[in-house]
Amino acid sequence: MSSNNSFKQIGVIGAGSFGTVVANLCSENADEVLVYARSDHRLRNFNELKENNGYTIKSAIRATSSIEEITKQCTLLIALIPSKNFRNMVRDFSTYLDPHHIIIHGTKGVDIQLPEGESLETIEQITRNQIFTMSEVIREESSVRRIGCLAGPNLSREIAQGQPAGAIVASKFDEVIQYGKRALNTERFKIFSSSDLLGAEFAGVLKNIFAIASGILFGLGFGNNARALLITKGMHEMLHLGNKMGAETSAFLGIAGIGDLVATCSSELSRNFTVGKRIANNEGIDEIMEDSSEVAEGVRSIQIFYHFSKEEKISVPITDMLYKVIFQSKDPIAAVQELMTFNYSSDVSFL
Amino acid sequence: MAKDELLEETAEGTGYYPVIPRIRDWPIAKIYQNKNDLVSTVVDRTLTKLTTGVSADKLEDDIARTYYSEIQRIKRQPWRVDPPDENDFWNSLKKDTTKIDPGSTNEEKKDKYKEVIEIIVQRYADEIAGTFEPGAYHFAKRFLSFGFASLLNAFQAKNIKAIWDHRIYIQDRIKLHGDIEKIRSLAKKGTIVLLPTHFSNLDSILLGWSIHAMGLPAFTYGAGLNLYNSKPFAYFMNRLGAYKVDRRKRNPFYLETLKTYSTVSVEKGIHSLFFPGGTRSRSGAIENKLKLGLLGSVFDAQRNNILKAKEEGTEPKKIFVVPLTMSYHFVLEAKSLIRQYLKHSDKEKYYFNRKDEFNSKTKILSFIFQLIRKKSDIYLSYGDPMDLFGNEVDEEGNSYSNGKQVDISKYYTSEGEIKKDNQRETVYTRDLGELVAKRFLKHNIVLSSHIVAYVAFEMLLKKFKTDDFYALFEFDREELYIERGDFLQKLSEFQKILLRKREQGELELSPIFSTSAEEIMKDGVKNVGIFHNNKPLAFDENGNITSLDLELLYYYHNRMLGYELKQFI
Repeated sequence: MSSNNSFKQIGVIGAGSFGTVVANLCSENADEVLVYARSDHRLRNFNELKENNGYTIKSAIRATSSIEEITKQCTLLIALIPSKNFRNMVRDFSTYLDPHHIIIHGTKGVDIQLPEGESLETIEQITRNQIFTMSEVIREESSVRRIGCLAGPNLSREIAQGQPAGAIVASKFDEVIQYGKRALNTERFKIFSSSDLLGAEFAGVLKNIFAIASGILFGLGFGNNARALLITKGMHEMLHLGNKMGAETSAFLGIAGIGDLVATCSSELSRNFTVGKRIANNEGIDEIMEDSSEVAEGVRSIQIFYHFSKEEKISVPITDMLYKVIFQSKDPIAAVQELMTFNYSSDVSFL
Repeated sequence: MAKDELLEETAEGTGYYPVIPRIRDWPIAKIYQNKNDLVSTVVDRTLTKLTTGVSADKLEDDIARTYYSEIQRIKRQPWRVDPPDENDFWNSLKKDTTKIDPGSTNEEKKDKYKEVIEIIVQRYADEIAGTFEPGAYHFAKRFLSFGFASLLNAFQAKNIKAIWDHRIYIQDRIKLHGDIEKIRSLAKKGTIVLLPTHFSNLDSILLGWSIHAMGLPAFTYGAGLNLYNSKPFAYFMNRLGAYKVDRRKRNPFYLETLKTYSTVSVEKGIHSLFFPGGTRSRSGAIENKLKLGLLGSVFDAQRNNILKAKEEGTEPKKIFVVPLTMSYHFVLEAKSLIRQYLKHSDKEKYYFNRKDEFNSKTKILSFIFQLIRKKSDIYLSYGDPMDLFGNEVDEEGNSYSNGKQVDISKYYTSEGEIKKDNQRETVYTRDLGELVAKRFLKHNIVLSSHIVAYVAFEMLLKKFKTDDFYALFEFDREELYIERGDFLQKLSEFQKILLRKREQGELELSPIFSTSAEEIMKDGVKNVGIFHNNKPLAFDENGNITSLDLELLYYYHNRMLGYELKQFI
């Protein structure tokens, strides 16, 4: 497979489904892909069984639990781990990271830093300064500067099946985008580029909120008209929140925004969508979270951006209702009815 | 005393022994001794940058454009400082260019054009380059006790004695804050690039004095060529290590030469000073948009130093950035600055038709007297020194990120090699600019007058239920007041807010903030724009707060923008 342009080694941090799929993609462009995994279980899946979460592992892939090894061997590291664990991961890696490293992350969640003694359950308002995108976490916790974000409609299952798909690599550094393209571009996976890192990050984070809403509508038996309504109005809320966070509008109109929104709001393969569906079936959120093997970032994002909208005093009716349904046991049907009576000022107000 | 043996003295009242006692040993003195080397390095590098990979046609075009813009400048904006042979120079150059045989090959043409460009760049580099004469420095410093002797022409002979008599007081008025010892130590290890805020033309005097007071060798900085129009001033500027910047010349040959000049000076170890805001803040707000051109040249210099050290097998000479925020109660030029600002912020409904009072030597003089006589504080708050990538550095100049020592050559490394990547360095430059702007706010020492002006102005807007500065002009002076009690109440709230912000490391406060709101109010109202004819703030006969000059009040109020305080009004 390797050509002149291919890498000797690429590092992938995170051994979940997306990590596995991305490692497989990278293996087409590198002599070796090193996957960082901590548990013996994962190491065995990768190195002995050659199968993880139902995905076959390609031969050029090897898992390691040594941070030193992966950071020494690989200049390019692709990080695909839940937002909740991201900061700790960077802290663990920090000693071994240097300014020549390039990190591209594909995490669609944010990190929060609350005052001592406060938690997402107790706090009432969250300010922008308390919310960190993954690139901001990397900047803060390490000396790495060349940072990028992988975003877009990336349903692992479809990519693994070799169906056509695309994504963007966003970075302020052209160099990072080039690395991302070289590492991830394959015949069936097309990488686009963007210089709007923050926009791509927030687009990826915010769309999960509406994927859950879409799942709820589906679970309640509503059809495509309702979904289209949700996607359109959800787009407005994404923009509203994104702009307040400091992201430009344009990112939300690209693959990372509208592209990803449409995919996750329509697919039963989406974890966040599935969470929504189960909520509609009156399952409690603790129960749902407990038995989903992988984290649905959307639930945490709803909590965070609900509190953020309170701080910023902005109107985000869908996020509002989702929060009430999930955390205040509001009846989903009543929530939908209430939304239908919400007094929107005009159809399109953001352009 | 032999010229070689001129020694720098410890500035009175500071106790900072000179970092390098013998002036002759200062980097600036050593480099300028071989000024021709410096200039020829600049010319070679600029020429390479301008002509490598560029077609003969493009070079021809660039020359023609430069010729045209220079002829226009000579015609439209002649200055006394301009050399008399300018017209002849450009016209003979044009002749040379047109003489080139149109039948010659592209290669031959390109060689000819390169020769022409070299002549132009050489002329520019000669013009830009400064010199440094220890004797002149020593004299100037002794004479005025100021390092830079800027604005020397402002002082008439009969008044110098008066200033001399009060010299001793300068140390009491100008307070230095920050880790001065670390900066002194770093000045020996590497090259310091000082980045101050810029509100007044008098800043360079303050800076010159403070550099001397800290026991540091002289810094170089770019001085506007217009300052050289005055002969006595030019005499000193020419000998004190300043280089000349001509803002009329905007052609790419000139700009590239200037940028290279700055790169080479920093690379050779001359401590430098840039005003990263580019020009004095017109609005009175602390700069938040920085000019990145010169800042970018520093990244070039650092990379070159690393490459050179690699070749020689030595440790690379490092460059350290030091942001500096200056605080004072009044800005001499406030009135003309804020008017320029208002004119440019496309609010044409407000019409200015008052005489410009600036540019008066007596004004500047009486300002200096006021400064010395009245106990009006001036603070120079030096920020934490850092490397170009925003990492903190220790006294030895080692960089640290998250407690881990960082090898800064890695920032330039890709695929194991140190490479030039313009786009990458543009991002680094932008990030450094943003960080410096943040540090300006963080190290800013808020004075009573700043917050009093802010609160008073915002309360006026609120009283008249408007967000529009211009709307205030529709009201009569009698209406434009704030009840003393209301004001004190609000000010006391702001005192708490500011104390909390200081706790969180967002800003610094002058000592008066540990007293009462009443004290802050009295001190602030007394001191805000103390020097202006019409005071921005005053007490009326009922003890209420009023403004005699809204433009000035607006100007001083702007100083507190950037802290997101409006929500608390």
